Amino acid sequence: MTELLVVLGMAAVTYGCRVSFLARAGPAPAGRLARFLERFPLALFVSLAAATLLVPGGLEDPVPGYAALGGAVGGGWLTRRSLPGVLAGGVAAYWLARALAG
Amino acid sequence: MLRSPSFRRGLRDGLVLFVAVGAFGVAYGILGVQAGLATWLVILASALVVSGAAQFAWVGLAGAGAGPVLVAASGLALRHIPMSARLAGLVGPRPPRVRLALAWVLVDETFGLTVAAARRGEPDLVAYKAAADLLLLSGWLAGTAAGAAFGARLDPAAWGAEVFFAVLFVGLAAPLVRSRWDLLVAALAAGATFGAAILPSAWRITAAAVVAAAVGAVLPDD
Repeated sequence: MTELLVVLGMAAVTYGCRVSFLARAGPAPAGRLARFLERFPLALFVSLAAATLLVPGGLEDPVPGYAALGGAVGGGWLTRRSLPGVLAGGVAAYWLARALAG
Repeated sequence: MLRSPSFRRGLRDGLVLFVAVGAFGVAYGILGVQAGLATWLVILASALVVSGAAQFAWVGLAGAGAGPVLVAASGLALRHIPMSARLAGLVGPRPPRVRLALAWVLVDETFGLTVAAARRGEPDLVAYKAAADLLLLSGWLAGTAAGAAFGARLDPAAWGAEVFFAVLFVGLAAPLVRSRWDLLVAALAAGATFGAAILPSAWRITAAAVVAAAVGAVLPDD
């Protein structure tokens, strides 16, 4: 019962944040707030990736993580930044690095 | 909506999310049952919360009580507020039921696809995001159920599930870099993530992203 309440609490907190601006149909943000919102997704995705692939402690063995990052950048470069290209390059480099490391 | 070209493009682009998020869902399902949580509860959380980060935090803190889990979930959920504001600006005036539905699966991955689609001039962003959301949620639920079913026999770290997901975020960031100033924001975000290591883990990502985007707010567009 306690864990069910925890799940409902997590859902309420998460949905509350997600719906905060969508719930009201106000004017679009302007000025620096608009520019902040424009650049927030990029900052968020880089931070999410860096937390695992770059920051110490993100992975037990960091070298395959660095290889994955390099492979992802290379895959993106070769496929004009397509999502499947980035994924394929990153995952291939990760598995290659793990295989080479034994 | 189901016949709109935007919906079909959302399905096409969301297919990769089905695979990637599905794999991460398997990892979550495995860890959930290995932490001693009931299978039905692990799956219910995937349907109601739809947040990998928050759900992994819950699994990691299983048995610690509601307080620590909700603090962690709040820290992780704060990043959805600017996402909500950005998406509201992108979709414009819509009926309340559409806006409430869009918020349910307002997750990093489909948000990223939708922002990129908006930059390409996608005519119906609601249909596009609905299709991507549908595939992401399907993959997340199917992966969770599979992981929970076979959880006792699998080790997600052995096949690098966490790396797969991190690379997905690289892929979502890539099309958003359009100028040298965007590159600077990306570098700042990476650096801020290192600096945020002094914060509790649940707050690091949000804090680093907010700092980098705040600096980005005073930089030129091109």
